[in-house]
Amino acid sequence: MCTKGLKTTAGSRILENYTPSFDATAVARLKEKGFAVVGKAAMDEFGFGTFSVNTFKVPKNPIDVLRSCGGSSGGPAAIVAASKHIMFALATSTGGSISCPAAFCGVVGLTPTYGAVSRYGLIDYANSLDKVGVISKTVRDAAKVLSIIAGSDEKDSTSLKVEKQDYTKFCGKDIKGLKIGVPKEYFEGVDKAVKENVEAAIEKLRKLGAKVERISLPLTKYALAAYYIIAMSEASTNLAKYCGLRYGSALDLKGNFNEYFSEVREQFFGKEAKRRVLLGTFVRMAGYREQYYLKALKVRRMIIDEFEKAFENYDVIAAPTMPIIAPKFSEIEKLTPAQQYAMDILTVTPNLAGLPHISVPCGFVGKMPVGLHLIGGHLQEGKIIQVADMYERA
Amino acid sequence: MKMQEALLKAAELARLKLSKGELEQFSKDAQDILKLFSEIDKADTKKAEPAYQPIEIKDVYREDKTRKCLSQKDALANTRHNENGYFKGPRTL
Repeated sequence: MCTKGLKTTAGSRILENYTPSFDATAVARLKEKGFAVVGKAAMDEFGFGTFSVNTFKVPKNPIDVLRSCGGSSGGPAAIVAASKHIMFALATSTGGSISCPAAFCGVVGLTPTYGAVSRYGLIDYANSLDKVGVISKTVRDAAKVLSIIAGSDEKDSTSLKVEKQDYTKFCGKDIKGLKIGVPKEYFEGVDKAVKENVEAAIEKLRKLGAKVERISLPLTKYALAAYYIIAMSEASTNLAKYCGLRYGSALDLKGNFNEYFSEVREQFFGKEAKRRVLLGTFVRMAGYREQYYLKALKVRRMIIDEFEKAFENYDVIAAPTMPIIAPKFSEIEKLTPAQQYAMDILTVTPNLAGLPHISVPCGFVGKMPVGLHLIGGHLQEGKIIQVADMYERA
Repeated sequence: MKMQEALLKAAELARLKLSKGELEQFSKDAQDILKLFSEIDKADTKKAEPAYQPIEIKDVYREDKTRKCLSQKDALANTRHNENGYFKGPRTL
C-alpha cells in the first residue's frame, strides 16, 4: 500500500526504490484519526504466493521459525503476532492473503466485501479481486480499524457507495438464533487435526446459541481454477506498467522500447511474477480466451449465485481457514507451483465472490495455530464480526 | 500450438525476455498448472453470463471539473530517465 515518503516495494525488486508521493486512501484515513505508520512488512511479490517465500527476505513464523508465516501478507501477520505494541496491520487479500497468514500466525484476519474499502493507492494484483483489510490481535480491533478505513471513495470508481458505520457495535452481541451453514466440501482434504479443532469451534458456536446445519456448495470444486485464471489474467495486464520508464527499477536506455522493456522486466521480476504474467497472458490469447478466461468468468457468476442462495437461509458460513497448519520451509521447497496454488482451496471461493470473511484462532495442532473461517454475504461484515467476537469472548 | 511455442508468443506479448532454461521450466510448470485450470471444463456454464466484477458496478461518474494532480516534480521523482521536465524513454524503432 502506498505510504507517502516511505519506500513501498510490494515485495518486488522492480519497485525496490519506489517511494510514493501520496498515501493510499486506507492509510490516509488512519492518519487522519491520529494513527502513525511505524513500518512496512514483508510479503510475496505483488501478492503472488501463499507462504511469503517469493520475496527479498522471507519472514519466519514467530511461533516456529522453521515454518512459514503464510502469505502473501506474511510479514504483517508475523509482526502482529510477535509484537506487544503493534496491535494491527493493514493487509490485502486477492485469494486469501489476509486469512491464510492470520490462521498460520494465530491472529485475526478480516477481509471486507470487495469495494467496501477503497483500493486507491493499493499496488494492484487483480482489480476485481483485491481487497484491503486488517490483521489484528482481536476481533474488536479489526472492527475498529474497518470502521475507519471503509466507506466510498471517489478516487476509486470500484468502491461501493456504502455509508460509513461503526462495526464495533456488532461486538458483544449474542448469536442466539443465528444460522450457521457448514459446507461439507470445505472439509475434504483437510488435515485431521485441523478438522478436529474447527469442528470443536463450530460446536462451541452451537453451544453459544447458533443454529448449525451441514450444507453443500458443490461448485466449490471449480473455484481454485476459476480464481487462478482470473487472477493471473488481471495480474498480467496490471504488471504491464512496470517497464523501467516512469518509476521502478530501470536500466540504461538501450535498444528500442520493446527490447528495453523486455530486458527490465526479465531482470527485475521474480520467478513467480514471470510465471503468472506468462500464464495470465496465455489464457487471454486468441484461441485460448474462450476456453479459459471467459469460462472462468462464467464459473465465477455461478459461484456467486450459489453463495447468494445459501445466504438466503444462513447468516454465516463456517469452515477451516486453511487445510493445514503452517508448513515448514523444507516442505514448501518440495511443492510444485500447482501444489502451492492448491493450498488456497478454502480461501479462494469467498475471495472470488467478493464476500467478507474473517479468520479467528480456534485451537492448536502442537504449538501451531488453526484458524476458523467465517464467511458472510455481501456487506454483511456485521454478522461475521458478531459471530467471531462472540467466539473469541467465550 | 505446442506449449513452448505458445509461451514464447505469450512472452513476446508480455514483453518478457526468457532464457532457454526459464522457457523449459515454465513450459513444464504450465503443463501442470493448465491441468489444474482444465477443471473448469467440467462446469456447465451454458446459462451463465461472465462476472467481470463480483459486485455489479455501473455508470460511475464524477463532475467534469479539473482537480489538483501530481506535480511535475513528484511525477518525475521516481525515475532517473528524465530530461527538461519530461520522461525520457527508449527509441521507438
